[in-house]
Amino acid sequence: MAEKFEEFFKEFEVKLEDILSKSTLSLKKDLVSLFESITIKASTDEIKKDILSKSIMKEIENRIREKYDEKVNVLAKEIKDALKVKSEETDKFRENNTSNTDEPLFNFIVNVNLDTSIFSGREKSKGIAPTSKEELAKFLMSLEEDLINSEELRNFIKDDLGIELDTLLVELNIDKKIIKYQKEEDIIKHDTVKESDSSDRGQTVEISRDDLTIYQESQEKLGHFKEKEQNIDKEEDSSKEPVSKENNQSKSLSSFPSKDMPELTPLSIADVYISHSAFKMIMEHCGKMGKKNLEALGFLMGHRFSCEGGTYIDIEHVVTSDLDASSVSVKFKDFGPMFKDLYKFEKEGKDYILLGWYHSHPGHTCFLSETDIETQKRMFKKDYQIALVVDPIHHDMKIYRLDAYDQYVEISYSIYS
Amino acid sequence: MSLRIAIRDADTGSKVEMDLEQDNTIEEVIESAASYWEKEAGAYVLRYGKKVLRGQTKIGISGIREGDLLELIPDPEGGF
Repeated sequence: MAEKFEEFFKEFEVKLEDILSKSTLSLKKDLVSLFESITIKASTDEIKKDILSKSIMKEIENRIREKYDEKVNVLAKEIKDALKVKSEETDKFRENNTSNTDEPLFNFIVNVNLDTSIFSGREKSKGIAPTSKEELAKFLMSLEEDLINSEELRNFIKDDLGIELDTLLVELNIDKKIIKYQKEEDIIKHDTVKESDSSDRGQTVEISRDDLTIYQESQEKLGHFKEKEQNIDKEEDSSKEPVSKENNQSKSLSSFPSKDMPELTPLSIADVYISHSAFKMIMEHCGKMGKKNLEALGFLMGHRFSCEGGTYIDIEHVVTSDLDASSVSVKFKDFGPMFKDLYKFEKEGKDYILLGWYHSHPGHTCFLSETDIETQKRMFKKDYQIALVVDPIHHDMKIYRLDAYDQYVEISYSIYS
Repeated sequence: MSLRIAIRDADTGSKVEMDLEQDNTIEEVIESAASYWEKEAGAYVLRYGKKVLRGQTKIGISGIREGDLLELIPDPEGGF
């Protein structure tokens, strides 16, 4: 029995290591395969009776923690969750922890940029997930592929719904069996939805879980959108939410003109906001350098602000300079062009602060190397300062911060125009 | 003759005033400012308007004048 377990764990460990070395997109796909391999193994092996037992799971978790420390804690929890039966626990949790049956227990917010095929997700879990992570991972993967790869859907969004292909926010509430789509400044119009005027900003379209299944299974996604009954859920105007100033270097949300700053609706909560122009400059710079197989580098400039106890940053501008770059390293060669920009900002009274840095890993996927971690530790020590990494070859972009153990953790972001 | 200047921390926007002597070097100014904000001196340069200041240049010949504002800017390195 012990040997069988060792064998199983070794196999698991190798797969896990392989998964962790890949990008998020690959990670989700491989996570699903891993869950499936566990299920297959558990059903065919003599350890099947024990694989779900607490002691075995605890042992797996301990071993993972020993080897991979904090980075894998989250993954270990996901594996545990994937093997749990959820429904009873969820009901019990809700009974004990919330009086509001409408309150979602498990949400997942996904940002999809159809133009650049950039995908990022953020879990907003308030309790026990009512469905397995395996199911969620599969669904997200399918949604991601649908959104990014479906020309038909892209055309539908652009032509029939009349919105530009930009960042599309998708909120999945598995618990309440709802999926909502929202674009920050546009409403997704639908055949059954009344024509909206400009005051209706922030409306969302809901699709039930049954619809969701149809959505997943159907190859004719457009038909799904057009045929199903829709409900409109008006989001509360977040501009009424209390905003506090943290200190004299923080900007309150109310100090930003609405054209410059997105409203913080429940669908747009992220750690980092990036202006579309800054995002475009980063992508163009990294893309241009990437074509020459060179790394790019620059600074992220903007403001930080606090809202409801959280600190958020708004990247309004990026600056860069001539670089001393290779395919595996990058530094500023001189500061001339960058200082011209900073001097201009100073004269314009922008009062930007340095929110972090961006650089690229052309073709090497997004992560923080030892050099990057050292740079982040030495020069971007403030808790709000980030490291943005772009892989222009694989069209991927990730944002990281260091945790208390100097391990890098990916954080969510939104792009606004 | 000493002169008083201000240095801005690019990370936070906070400023500190500093009295400098003509024979102080830029490196010494960076060290003092970095030490004040608990940063590592070697990893920074100073911005003076559009100009970059670093190394052993003496204040007396740097062009810095009474009341000027300098900014402490990191000099990062990225690598795969």
